[in-house]
Amino acid sequence: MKDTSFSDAMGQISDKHIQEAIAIDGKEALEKAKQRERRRRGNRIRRFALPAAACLCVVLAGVLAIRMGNTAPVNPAPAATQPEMEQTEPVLGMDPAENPNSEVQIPNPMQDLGSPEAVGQAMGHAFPVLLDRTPETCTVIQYGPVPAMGRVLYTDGTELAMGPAGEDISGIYGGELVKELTVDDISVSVLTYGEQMYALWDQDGFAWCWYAAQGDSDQAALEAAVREAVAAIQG
Amino acid sequence: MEDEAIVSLLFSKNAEGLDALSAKYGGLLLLIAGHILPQRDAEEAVNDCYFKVWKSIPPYRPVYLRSFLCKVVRQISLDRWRAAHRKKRDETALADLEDLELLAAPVQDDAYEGVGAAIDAFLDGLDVESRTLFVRRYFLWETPASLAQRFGLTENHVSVKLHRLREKLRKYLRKEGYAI
Repeated sequence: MKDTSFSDAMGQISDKHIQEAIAIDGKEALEKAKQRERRRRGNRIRRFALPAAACLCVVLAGVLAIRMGNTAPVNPAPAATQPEMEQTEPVLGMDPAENPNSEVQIPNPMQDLGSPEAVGQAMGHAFPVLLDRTPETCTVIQYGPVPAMGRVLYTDGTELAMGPAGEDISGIYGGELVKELTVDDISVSVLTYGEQMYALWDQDGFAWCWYAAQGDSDQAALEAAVREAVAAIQG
Repeated sequence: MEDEAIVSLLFSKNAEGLDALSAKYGGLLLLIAGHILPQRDAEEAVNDCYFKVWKSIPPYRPVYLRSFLCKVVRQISLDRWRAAHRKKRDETALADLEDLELLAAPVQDDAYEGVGAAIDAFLDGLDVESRTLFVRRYFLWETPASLAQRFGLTENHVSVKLHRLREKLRKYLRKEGYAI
């Protein structure tokens, strides 16, 4: 068995911890890092809570549908005594429990809007139009009355997303901080998670996230794209 | 100059790579070496670091140049410090007395990198403030007074926090099967 000095063992810690400690070089940077950590924890809870809530809704809807089916007469009366046709059709404004033919529908939170301009309109802030990039899909994610996130996926596999300011909208938990950039006085965090490289920043009252194409580790290209996006957002 | 460009210059044995390296990271390397060695020795350690980097690239191509440099200069500085204090056979002068116990403690390790990986896992489980204080203290050798000033904390707060973290690490390493 070999004896290793603790100080030598500390020399073997991973690069990510060293990079992080050097990047956090003051009170302000530490506060930002703490906020990011809190957001990630929140996202982690949301990541489990949202699918769980959705599953629960589906199960409840299923149970409700089965129960309503069971309340229908087992041996229907002859056609002459059946209710009128209009009574069997779903009636708007009618309580579903009173309407045996109504269907429980769960709205799709993803809406394809067709263009970045439409995404911007839905989000209440112009979505930047980037030169040399062709949008493939332009979607808005909406759970409640207000859209939660707007995303534009480009044909080269890159993606730009916008969401509420101050939140980690990447949807990635446990990303590793690679670098902190300052672009036009805006602090941008460059992170990686597995083969996914992405950048997060707050600008104009919204949080923004740029995703490099899956497997693309070209950090310089990502930084250039972020600079372009920041400039385009500023208009 | 971006790290990737510096590494490419070094990889093609272009001396401009060393100039760029020195311009970008010279201050940081001198700071780390200066936490361990007196100023003059620290400058020599940084020069040794450049030499070692020049020799090891290529074939080695660091992914994270900054942390690679920090590791190299730290190891060179520690080796120099040990050579200068060989008779004492301890590392007491490196740290405050309260840090002595953990720093000097040998960890029995069959696989040399095993302890490093265990410490990594321990750090992964900490909150960002604790992790930053711990790495800055025990990897970059920053003093508690400097940490307190940097992060707007009291020196006592930093010392108490580091003491608790050391205890936590000791328990963690024992639980993982390391004798410390």
